[in-house]
Amino acid sequence: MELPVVHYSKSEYIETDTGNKVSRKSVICGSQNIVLGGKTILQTGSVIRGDLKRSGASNFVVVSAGRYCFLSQSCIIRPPCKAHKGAFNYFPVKIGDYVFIGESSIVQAAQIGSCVSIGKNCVIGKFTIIKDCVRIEDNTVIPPNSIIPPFSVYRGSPGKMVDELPESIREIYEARCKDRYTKFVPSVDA
Amino acid sequence: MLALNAPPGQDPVRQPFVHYRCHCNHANSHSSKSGNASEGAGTTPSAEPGTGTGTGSGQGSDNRDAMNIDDASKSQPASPTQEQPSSQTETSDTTRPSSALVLAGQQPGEASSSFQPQNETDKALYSSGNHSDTHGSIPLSRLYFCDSCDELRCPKCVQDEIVCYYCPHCLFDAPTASVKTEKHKCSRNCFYCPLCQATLSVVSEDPDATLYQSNPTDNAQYYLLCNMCLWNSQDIGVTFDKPLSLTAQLQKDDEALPDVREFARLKDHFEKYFRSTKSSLPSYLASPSYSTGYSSTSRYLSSVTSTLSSHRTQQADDIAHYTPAVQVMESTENLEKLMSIVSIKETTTMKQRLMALQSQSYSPQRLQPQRIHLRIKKLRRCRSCRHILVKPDQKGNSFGFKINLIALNQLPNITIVSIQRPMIVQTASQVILRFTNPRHEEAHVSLQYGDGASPSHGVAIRSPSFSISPFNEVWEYEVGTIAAPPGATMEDVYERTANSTCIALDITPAVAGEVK
Repeated sequence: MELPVVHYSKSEYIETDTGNKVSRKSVICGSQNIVLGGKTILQTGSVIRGDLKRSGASNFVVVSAGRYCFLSQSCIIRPPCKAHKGAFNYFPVKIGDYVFIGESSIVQAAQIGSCVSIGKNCVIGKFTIIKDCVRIEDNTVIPPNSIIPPFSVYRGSPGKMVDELPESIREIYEARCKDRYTKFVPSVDA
Repeated sequence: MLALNAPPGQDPVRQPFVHYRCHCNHANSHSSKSGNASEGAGTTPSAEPGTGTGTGSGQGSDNRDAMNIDDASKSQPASPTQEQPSSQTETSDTTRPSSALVLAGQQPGEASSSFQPQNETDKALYSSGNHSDTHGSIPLSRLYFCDSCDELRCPKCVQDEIVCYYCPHCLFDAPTASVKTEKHKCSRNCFYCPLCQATLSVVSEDPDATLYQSNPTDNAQYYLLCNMCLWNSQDIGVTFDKPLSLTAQLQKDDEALPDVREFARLKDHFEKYFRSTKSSLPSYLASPSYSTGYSSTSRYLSSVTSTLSSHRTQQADDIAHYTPAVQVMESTENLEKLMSIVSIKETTTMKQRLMALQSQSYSPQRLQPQRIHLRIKKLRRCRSCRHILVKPDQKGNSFGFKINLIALNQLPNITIVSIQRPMIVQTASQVILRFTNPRHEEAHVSLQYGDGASPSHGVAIRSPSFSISPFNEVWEYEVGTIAAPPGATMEDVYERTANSTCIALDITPAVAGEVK
């Protein structure tokens, strides 16, 4: 079946001129440190902690997301932190294009590539590096400091590779994310 | 943690892709069900019972459409090719290898749509890489298209070659020459945890030391730590002086083991007998890249048999008797320990044991961290014409493709837009299918019923022949439906958007069943 058309109430979402649709009910901390590529959707209840940044440094981007990203309801993007040489620091999170993050997932990765699909209720540990074209199935727990190679499917706790994605997956995910964006329309009676 | 409160494992997202059947001669083990013959399988894109539970096998053709509806994401019989003669309805899926494809006015190849069975993910665990369902149909996402043969290629009719090896953890290219000596494992600092098979990280006892310190202090001890189960290598007494090249440090310990030394002695003993004859291992086997697939294996087999026979005749009595340096005693210590365990946690699981095939220890205390297996980048060739279908980038860290001839860019994708619910027996309900054209030329699609030209089994196709507009990147930036380009003939289609056409089918279920 195709993806269903998702309606949202116009009053709930802010649409920017680059096409980002951000829910007013999402928790965005430190929005001046967050960069969203165009046409990204942040659904109700999603949390982006842009306030957790490296102490002392001014004006750099803590969380950057690419185009056509989709952060589902109640998902959490939290910069990873480390105690290092006596100093406790947060590190920036870089998310690529065409990334889909499922509901209630907690993402503390340091870097997520493009064309990545993360399922529901996932826990991505700190300082994980997820390369391009990866699918992380629902309810997966990825331990901290792991590196997920491209074209793999991870499942389980700890997440292990279970399948390999075809070479066409980049086109598939790009088309799917664009389709998801076009099907996210305001409800007519809002 | 949220993960613990997660709802019980639901079915993973199924790829909503139409399945095509490839005309290759590679018989699929799944497709040997009796149901195939009765449905007129193979090239006939009739409604095939999709689920692997055998609901379709043996059932009459009257119920076929009912079962068609039973399975979600299944699109109706769509046979875009009119060239298929009707005689092919009786054959199995190993038919003649040509699927008539006409480039201009692009009529796509065989389309037989069926549903991926429920237990496809389970099957994937045991038959990795086999993504076909029970009837040998493969989703469009896995297919390739050879442009010199003008034919579909499934993963079985492509030949894989190895381009390079890389470690999935450190993503470093392993030099091809050393892959064999390193037993296809990463030779840097990448290890699996012996308990939970997560990857281990190298940590220092000294909290202020960094991993890449240029001058490590003398008393900084480095050890391996699992981030998931908190196993650390200090428990088994494995620590390192430097944080780099840990495998080399571990290898030195390994070589001191008695069985490894014994094996080395055995090898030396027998090597001098084999060295006298000219037959060493064929050089093309030592290097991982083969230029020809079948011919090299046949050559190797013939050379091995000739070697063995020559050895048997000439040197059977020349090999001196070998006395082992280490006497292995029958040890009952293991048995006594196993008899005295109280809980299952005191022994290792099968998976933990099989990770270390050399030792396969029974007690978790003796499990060693294992090096990580390398993964490969594959080059895929069409078996018949030897053209390259998929060529990955040679350069280390990039995972793009120089050539990527996927079927997704050639054949239309068929998806179900909507199914009119509830479906009532003996009442027509509408199913809308969308055909998406990926090419830059217009595509013409003709639909055929499964058993010939007559509307049968409660399926009524309202628009048997229609065209799909070409793909145009400019339209991507326009949101919303685009009106049909001027000059297009108005057929009775449901809806026509930028590069896709929706058609409506009326389905009358004959038998009540579950609609998924």
